[in-house]
This record gives sequence, structure tokens and C-alpha cells, in this order.
Amino acid sequence: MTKRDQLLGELMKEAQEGNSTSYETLLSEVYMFLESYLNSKVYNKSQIDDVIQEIILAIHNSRHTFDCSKSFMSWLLAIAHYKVSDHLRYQFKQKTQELEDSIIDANSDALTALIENQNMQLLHQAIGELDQKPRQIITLLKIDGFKISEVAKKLNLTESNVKVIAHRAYQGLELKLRSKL
Amino acid sequence: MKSNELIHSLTTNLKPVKTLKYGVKEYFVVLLAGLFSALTGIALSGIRADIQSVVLTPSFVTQSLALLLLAVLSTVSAMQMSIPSLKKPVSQKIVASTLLFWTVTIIYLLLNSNSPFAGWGFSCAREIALSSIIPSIAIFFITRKSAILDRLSTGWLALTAGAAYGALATQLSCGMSDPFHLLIWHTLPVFVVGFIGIAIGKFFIKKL
Repeated sequence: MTKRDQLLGELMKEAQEGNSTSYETLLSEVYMFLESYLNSKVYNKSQIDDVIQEIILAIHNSRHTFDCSKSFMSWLLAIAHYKVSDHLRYQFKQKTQELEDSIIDANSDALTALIENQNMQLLHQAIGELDQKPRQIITLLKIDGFKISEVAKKLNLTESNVKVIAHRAYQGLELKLRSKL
Repeated sequence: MKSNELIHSLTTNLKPVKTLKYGVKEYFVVLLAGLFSALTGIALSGIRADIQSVVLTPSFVTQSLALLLLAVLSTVSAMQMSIPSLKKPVSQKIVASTLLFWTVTIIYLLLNSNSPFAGWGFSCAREIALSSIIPSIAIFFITRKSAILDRLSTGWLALTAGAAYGALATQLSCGMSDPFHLLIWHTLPVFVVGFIGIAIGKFFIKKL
């Protein structure tokens, strides 16, 4: 047992007896030790403080299990090692989940695009099967983007006539698409 | 929360804690629980009729000693493991070796015998499983306030200790000495109970 180990053990013994000053000194020492210890263990530096806090909480919750006749560092390192492994395991699980999710998302996007593409083909096919007038009106309104008044002018129809024909064309399209999907 | 704030909050109003130490009393409690469980099993099943003729045979003595050693060492090891330390208790390796020794002894007996299949032994497996409950609960109860880091091993050791007491009791109540029967209905249940202990450890022992 080194001198430092002995000193930390004594501080812990006093902490077990309720001495808060010794405990604060001990935890500060432990904090400094863990900072350098975790530098080589935890690659994501932003998470080091979180892991240290978890270890400090674990030390606090199990401080009654420390036997002052034994090495403090061995006791501390056992807890630290356990917490670091736990953290790394959690990180690995999270990363795996993220990867799986991204694969699922990519597949889902491709599937949506495929469905949209197929739907567009079906829609164009259904429009093509309409009579000449309704087909012209739907093409001008929905594909070329003209307004009802402009379509009426182009086809020499009244606006209400265009609306009626378009309405019937939509119904016809709906029936055709239902039978195809 | 920053680490220094956490340290400050943990150190203010600090209360003294009673240090956890396992002494003779704790080990004795588990031993009593194990013996009580074993004796209850024997009382319910009845002692084997040929006990006087087999009790001093080398095979019986070796197996009984191995089982007693297994029960005691598993208990000691489970308790030692509930206190954080970098050094793994040596007893854990001895437990595995003893379990292996017992199994190998029975396999050796099996290879050197030509006795036929002696029938089913569900009652033996049941007795081992039931006898393991009380000592295992005693170990879990004693270690409930500790800081268990290796939950799987602790669960395995606690239930193996219980099952060893059960197997010891079954050895005294089951009249079949056929090695094949011993292997399937005495040894295998100890392994199975041990595996159940791993599952119990994983799901029921509190994480530090």
C-alpha cells in the first residue's frame, strides 16, 4: 500500500465516521485522480465529467463497504472500472441503435420514393385514360399550373363549366386509381 | 450539475455510516439455513435405506466432501464478491474447480460402470431446486446492503451454494447410486440452478 493510498484510506475512514471536511478532501482528490484516469479510457472528452460524477455517486452510495484495513485504491478502481465498463457498454448500445435507425431511415426513404414514383405513373396513366376535355382541363390545372379563369379562356368555356368538368374528372380519376391500387 | 457542486452537496450534512463487514455470524447464518434446508429435504423424502452400507464408500465420501466444500466456498465467494475490490476472490476459482471435480468424479464412475439406466429422478432434481431456495435467500439477504459489482457471478455463486446443500441432502435421501442417475438428476440440476442464479443476478440484483 502506498502512502497516498494510506492517506486516502484514512480520509475515507474519517468520512465513514461523519467527518465532512475529510470527505470533501477525499472526493476532491478522487476527482483529480479520475480525471487523468478516464482520459485514456473515455474517448468522448465531453462525457468524462458525467462518468466522474457517476463514479463519485457510486463511491458515496457504497462508502460503508470500504474496509480501512485494505487498499483504498483497489476499492476505488474496482468501482471506477465497473462504472467505465457500464458507460462504454451503454455508449456501444446507443451507437449500434443509431446505426440501425439510420439504416432503417435510409431504407424507408427509398421505399417512400419508390411508392411516390409508382403512384405518379399510375396517376399519369389514369389521366391519359380520361376523355379529351376533362384530360385537357386536369392537365392545364394540375400539371401546367394554370388558374381556372385562364383555362376557361384557353378552352372557350365558362369558369363554372371548367369547375364542373374538373369535379367530374376528379371523381373519375378517384375511381380509376382505386381500381388500380 | 458540475462535479464540485456534486461533491459539495454530498459532503454537507454527512452522517456516519456503519461499515459493512462479514464475520463468522453471517457465514454461520447461511450454514444454518443450508443445513436446515437440507435436513428438511431429508425429513420429507426420508433417509435412503442403504445409508449404512454406502456412507463410508470412497465414492460417497468424496462426493459429500466435494458438495460440502462447494456449498461453503460458494457462500464465502458470493459474500466476498459483494464488496468492491480489484482482486477477484480466489475462492471463486476454487468453486468452479470443485464443481468440475464433482462432475468429473461422476463421469469417471460412469465410464467405469456398466449399470443400466436407473430410471427417472425428477424428485431428486426437485429436492435440489427446492433446497436451494432458503440458503440462497439467506445469501441475498445478507448481501443486500453491499455494493455488488459482478451481479452475474454473485447470483451464480449464491444459487450454486444453495443447490450444493440440496445435492448433499439428496445424496442422503436418494437410494440410487447409479452414476448416470447421479449425473443427470443430481449434477445437472446444480448447474441449472446455477444458471438460474445468473439470470436472477442480472435482473434482480440492484445495480450500483
